[in-house]
Amino acid sequence: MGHLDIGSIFKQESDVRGTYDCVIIGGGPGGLTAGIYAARGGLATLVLEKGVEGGTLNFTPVIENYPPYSSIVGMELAQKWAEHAEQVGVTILHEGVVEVSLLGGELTVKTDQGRTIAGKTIVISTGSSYRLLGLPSERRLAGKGVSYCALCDGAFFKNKKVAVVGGGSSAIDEALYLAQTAGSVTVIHRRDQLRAEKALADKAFQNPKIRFYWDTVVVDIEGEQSVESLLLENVKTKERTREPFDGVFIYVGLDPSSGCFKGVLDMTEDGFIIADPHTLETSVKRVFAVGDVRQKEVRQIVTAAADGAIAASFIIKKYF
Amino acid sequence: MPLLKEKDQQAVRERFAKELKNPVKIKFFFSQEDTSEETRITGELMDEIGGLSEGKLVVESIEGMDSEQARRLRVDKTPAIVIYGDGDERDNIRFFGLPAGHEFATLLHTLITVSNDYHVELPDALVEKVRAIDKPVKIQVFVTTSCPHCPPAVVVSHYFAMLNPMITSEMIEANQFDDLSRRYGVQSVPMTVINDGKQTFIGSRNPEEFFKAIEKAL
Repeated sequence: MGHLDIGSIFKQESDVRGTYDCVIIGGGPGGLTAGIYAARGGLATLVLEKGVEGGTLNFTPVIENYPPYSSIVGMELAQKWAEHAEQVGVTILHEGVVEVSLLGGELTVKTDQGRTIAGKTIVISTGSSYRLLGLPSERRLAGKGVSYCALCDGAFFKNKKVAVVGGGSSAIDEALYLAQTAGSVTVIHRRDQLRAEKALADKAFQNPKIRFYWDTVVVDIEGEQSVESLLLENVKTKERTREPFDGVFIYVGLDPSSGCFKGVLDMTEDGFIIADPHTLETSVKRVFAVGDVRQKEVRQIVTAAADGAIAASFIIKKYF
Repeated sequence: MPLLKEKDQQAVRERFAKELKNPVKIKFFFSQEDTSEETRITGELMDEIGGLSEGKLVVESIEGMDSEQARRLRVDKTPAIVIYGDGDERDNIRFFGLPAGHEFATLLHTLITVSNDYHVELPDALVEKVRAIDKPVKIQVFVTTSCPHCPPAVVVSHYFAMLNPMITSEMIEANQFDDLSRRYGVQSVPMTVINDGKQTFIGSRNPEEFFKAIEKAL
């Protein structure tokens, strides 16, 4: 037997200060990279992470497009990233942010442990969270066959028949992961082709356990105690069919985690924070946005990391 | 071959050296009938982390559900781990199943917190409320080891148990105890079951919200 996989060994932080040169909200690839650049630039740097360091990386079974790793487990990449940050002197605190005050003389954040921390600069790297389909039955059956995390819940569907809704890279990632244990995986996508990266899509097409329903949307999720069937509609022919499924995993897109900053920072209608593309400074001076939470074209691990480097470098140059 | 990679062993050793204060007892329960790989590995893992603690973690392996210790500590299934501080035997901080993956972090955090006089990181107002509970509460947090949402749920539950001996907190690895998972219809983790189903919820909640569910279950 090989070595045991263990998650990040999260730390109990005893010596948190009241003020930092750079306070980073969110410890995913963008936030941790900003932290690494800021700390190496000599800034006292704090990363606040409410969950596990590495953020969304932890939810990705395998990553094949973060060079130069041809293939790396998401959790492992997350750990490496956090280790790197801590090695260069970044303090990582496991508390969520419940309130921010970005206006006036001082920038401060309040954490869910009641701590108030001031930052001479703030980097927002809160990322995004999965989007709901928006069906009433989806809420009712959440956790009863409706899931948003294949890594967490895949084990409950061993040899069962599951559906994956969505056609992007995350949906196909999850379909491939589920196909390792589920009896069959049906990808339900509203368009006639995948948005997912081609290399990933090709893998799914070659997997005998995965099949595709094109031009199809889920109209209702049915079941009393747990998911029993899906009511599907072909968007072209409008034809409706009912098919039994044991579980349904939903990956129809991401919503920015920017609620805390509404009314304070400029954002798009969808809630993505608008930042200067050259510096990543937001509409409030000394406040920056990096990674998935900001308005941008390409949301990848590598672009989140690049954002972190750009923001921190600019912070050092302009404000210290 | 050790279970932990050389690099992980080093990280655990350093963290223990820095953060363990008082001795901690780890009671590991197994049984002859249970020949599962998970149980065997859990035992090895406990011995291994004990060896990285410079004697601070005192690991004892106990065989059989009908043993005197199993009865005293209310252990009814294996693999089981019961954790308490030196000199204050208590049975209400518990892990059922192999604490690997993300749950390894939960295990370390629990050991360190127990070792530091059960000093939990919760707001003072909530600490008072938790201490005031005077009826028995059983919290079962179902997890899988690949679930990144799960550690915070177990940590908060264990914090409650540390504050009040009336509260029993159990991490339950859902795959290893599938009968129990089926009984409560666990299909998504973390799923928290309070007092045998009087209250259940899915996902990690902040400590205040978690506590409200306990109040409702009383």
